Amino acid sequence: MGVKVSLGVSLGAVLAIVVVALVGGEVSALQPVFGILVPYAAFAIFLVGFIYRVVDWGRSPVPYRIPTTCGQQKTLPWIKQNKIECPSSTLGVIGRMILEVFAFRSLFRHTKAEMASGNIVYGGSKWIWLGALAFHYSFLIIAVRHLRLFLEPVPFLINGIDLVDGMFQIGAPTLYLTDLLLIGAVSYLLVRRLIVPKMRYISLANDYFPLFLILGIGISGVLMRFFIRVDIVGVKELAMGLATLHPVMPEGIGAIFFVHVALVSTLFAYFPFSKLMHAGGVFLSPGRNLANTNRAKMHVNPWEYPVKIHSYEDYENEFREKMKEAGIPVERE
Amino acid sequence: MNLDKLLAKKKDLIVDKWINSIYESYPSETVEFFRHQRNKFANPVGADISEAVGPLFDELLNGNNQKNMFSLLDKIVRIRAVQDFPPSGAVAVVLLLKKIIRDETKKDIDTDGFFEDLLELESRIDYCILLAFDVYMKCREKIWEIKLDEFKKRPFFVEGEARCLSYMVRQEQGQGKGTKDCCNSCGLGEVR
Amino acid sequence: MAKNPEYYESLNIDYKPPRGNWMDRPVDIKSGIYCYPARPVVLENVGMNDRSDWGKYWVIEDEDWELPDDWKERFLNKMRDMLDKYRTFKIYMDICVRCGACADKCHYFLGSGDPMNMPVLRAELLRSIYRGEFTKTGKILGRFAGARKLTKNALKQLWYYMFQCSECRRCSVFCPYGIDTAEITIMGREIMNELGMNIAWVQESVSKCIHTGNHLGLQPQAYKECIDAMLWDIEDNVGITFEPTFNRKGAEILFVTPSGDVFADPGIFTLAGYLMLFEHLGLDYTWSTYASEGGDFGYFTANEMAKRMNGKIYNEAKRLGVKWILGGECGHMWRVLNQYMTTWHGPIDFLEEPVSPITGTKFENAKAHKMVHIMEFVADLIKHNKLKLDPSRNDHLKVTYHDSCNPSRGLGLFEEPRYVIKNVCNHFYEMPENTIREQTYCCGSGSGLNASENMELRLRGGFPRQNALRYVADKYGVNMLACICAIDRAALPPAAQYWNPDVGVTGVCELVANALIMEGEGERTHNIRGFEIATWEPEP
Repeated sequence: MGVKVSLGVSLGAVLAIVVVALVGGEVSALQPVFGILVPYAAFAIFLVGFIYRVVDWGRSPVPYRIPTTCGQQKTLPWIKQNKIECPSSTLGVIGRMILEVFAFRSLFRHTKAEMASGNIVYGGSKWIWLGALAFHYSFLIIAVRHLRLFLEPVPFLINGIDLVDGMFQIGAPTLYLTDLLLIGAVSYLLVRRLIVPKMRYISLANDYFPLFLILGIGISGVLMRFFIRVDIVGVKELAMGLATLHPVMPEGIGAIFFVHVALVSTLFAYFPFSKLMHAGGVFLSPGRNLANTNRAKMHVNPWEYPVKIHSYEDYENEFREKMKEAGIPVERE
Repeated sequence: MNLDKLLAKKKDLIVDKWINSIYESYPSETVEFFRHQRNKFANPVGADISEAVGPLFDELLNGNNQKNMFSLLDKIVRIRAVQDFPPSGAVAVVLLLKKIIRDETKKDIDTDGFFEDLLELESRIDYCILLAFDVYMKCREKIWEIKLDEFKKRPFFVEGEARCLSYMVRQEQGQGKGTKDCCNSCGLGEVR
Repeated sequence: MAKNPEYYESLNIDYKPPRGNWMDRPVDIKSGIYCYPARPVVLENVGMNDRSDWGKYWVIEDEDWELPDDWKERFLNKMRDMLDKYRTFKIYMDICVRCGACADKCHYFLGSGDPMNMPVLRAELLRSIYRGEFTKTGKILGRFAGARKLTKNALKQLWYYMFQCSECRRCSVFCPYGIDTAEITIMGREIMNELGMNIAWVQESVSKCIHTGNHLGLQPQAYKECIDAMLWDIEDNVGITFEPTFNRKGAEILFVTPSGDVFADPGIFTLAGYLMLFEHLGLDYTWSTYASEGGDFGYFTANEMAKRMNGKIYNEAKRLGVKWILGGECGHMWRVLNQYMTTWHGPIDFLEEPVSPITGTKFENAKAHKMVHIMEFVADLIKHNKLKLDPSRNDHLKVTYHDSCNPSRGLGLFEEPRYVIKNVCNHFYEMPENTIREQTYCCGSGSGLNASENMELRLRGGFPRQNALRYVADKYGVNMLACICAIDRAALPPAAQYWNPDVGVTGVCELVANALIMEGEGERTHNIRGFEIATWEPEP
């Protein structure tokens, strides 16, 4: 399957969802389906699926402690250990994981400016680090911002985030920085997959699909806010209803809203079945979340079983005469 | 304008094109990497090619010093001798220049004395290809020498086919059907 | 004359591999890249799956690889079993997002330009099968979920490229999720091992090691003879005569090192280094002919085999009644020792927490494992001024240090060897930052790939390392590459012969031995290689 097919299928799938939601949003009889049923179902799938996957991973054994050591081990007292990159304590592991999860430490490697043939050049990975960081953080902030729809009264913190996010006060309603960042970052991630040949080569349909999906979510969100206005009071009423498990379907919210909701629901439902599960997996990855302490403290493998080791006795039996001749001590003459 | 001047003027362009056409003999997924990763330790192959091609072009135009050419060609061909190229593909890098120069000088071809100059230059390129072939052969012979060395250093107690040099050679030549029977000369007879 | 305007274009394009999705690409197996397959029944004597049960010969050039009839079932059963046993495997199959951060970090990719050597694709070869055979989404959506079925072509691809990975873990340093392609290669190789698809170089070593105790197949008397031969050299070049002990009960320390050091040049000079150092210290130690292998080629076949081979070390320590074990310079040996050994055989209550008898230093980082790395041991000696050293004897050397992959990324041993080298040599230069320490490049021949028939693979895979070496050779006149791995000492010289013919290769303990002032030594005009120090020019 070539790039075009992968792309076409992913984009097609997202567009199909948009069309279905548009139609559904226009028909008032279907509105409860798209406004209540689908979000509930998607959220349930997400919750159950996510937990199932994480528990499934968590239950599988970690037979050996095999972290990748990226710094000096704990050794002689006068040699300085790198406690983060080669942790020997739980604290060190936590530090390593925090850097990994919140700052994408590993992606950051190789990014400093270097001199090559007289010019300063930058490692190519810097952009992917920046892009990934921008994407994940803006997504997180947007998700938090959305909580204002589900909570009453709106907590102070969320209002604060809202305020900072819209601090440039461009346009009315205020333009959020994170909206721009998210759409920009997703576009970068998508374009990168398309124009860098090696990326195109390794990319699959299931790499393009979530990107299109999130791009669709971002665009429909921005459209709703600035261009095709929806009844925000109705949206809040619906969201509160969903959150308090007393769903109501207000009239006249606007079809674009249903597109947004359908795309978000798809993302939720798709999440546990896809590579997006890296969000949970990164915490469980034995390459990073274990301390390099095998020599100080025994790690136990739950399924370890005894094996047949060629015994010294057998060895001596095979070579006894030769050993004696060579003056090597033997157990039995 | 005579050829020398024209080529001197277009040097950067021609060298660039030459470098690119060498890159393009690699899988297209890799070309971009060779081109854009500028750190010579993160991209040794791309760096060697881009460092050697400019001086090689100068050498062709002006110096024609065999020793210099040889060492510059070495930088490009040595790696190709261990990559997935047939011999022709390993040395073809020089040939690529011919086409680039012809393309770049096409419209000046009718100038006085130009054609003779071009022929002279192409002869030099031909000679350079022969040198590239020498480099390639030197590398390939070295590889076999290293293999043989390792082979001789193998402990005498290594058994079976791993001890049989002719088996190894036949395998290399794609005649590895003789897995069951070893050659007669080493006295190993049938390999289990 | 007939014109052929396409001539130059065709020249160019012909050498490119066919376009299209890698999943469909028929595998193009080149000689010089692959290692010879293991012959049937090589491992019969150790009772491990090696085709002996269906007894088919296996020729790579043939279309048919003579697999057993139920090959698919065997493969998938084994894979299922491993997915259940290893969280690493399961998670690494599930969470890769194909961000491409690892893609250009592999020395085999850099040297070959073959996109299938990008670590992400190497792993995808197996991941696509995982999705297609084990996940519901993959079964339903097929290619749209990046899934495919296990076919013979997929299996060939897998074999070809899993034996182009040296399990060096460089890519895993850059992975945002810590996905370790080495782990995936290890799983892939173990699965294929079920189908008898391993290589001769690995399997023959395993087969020999089981009986003789070492990969080379040195029987006890031959092992001792090799060391004796080195003692004569030491007598000639250093003027000291002594006799170490073998299999001696009641010694304080058991010393274990890879057998490559006993036989192959330049590893034997590292061995001379150990011998001289221990003699100088008057260490109460013994060699063992039974546990005469530190390395573990079983690790390149299957976990169980690795454990079986490794088990001899503790067995022997117990039998001889030593207090603790000292380990020599080796790469994957230390990966296995550090990350597997205590889990396999522990708890180790028959040995004592290692204490240096010379300095009294407790090696607390090894208190459960009871094994100390020779570099930790020597660094501690130097720090406590227990060695008389004359580094000027190494003045003709300009030394750089190659961090061997496994002690770097599987143990975290960076400063000890540097400290030792700086104390025994006056001229030490680092290679560029992105080619050393945790970012070190592989020698190109790790994980059992140091056979001779795949020399092209080894040379191109070794190029990134050699390129960095060439840089310091040009800039500082470096003429000696120090390392702490036996495979390095076997593999870096050929690579240097090809890429850097003016640079020699040495173990760190050889440098120590040359600088070591021993009591009663003669005039040290010659180094332990037997060359006159004043005029010696190292070569690989």
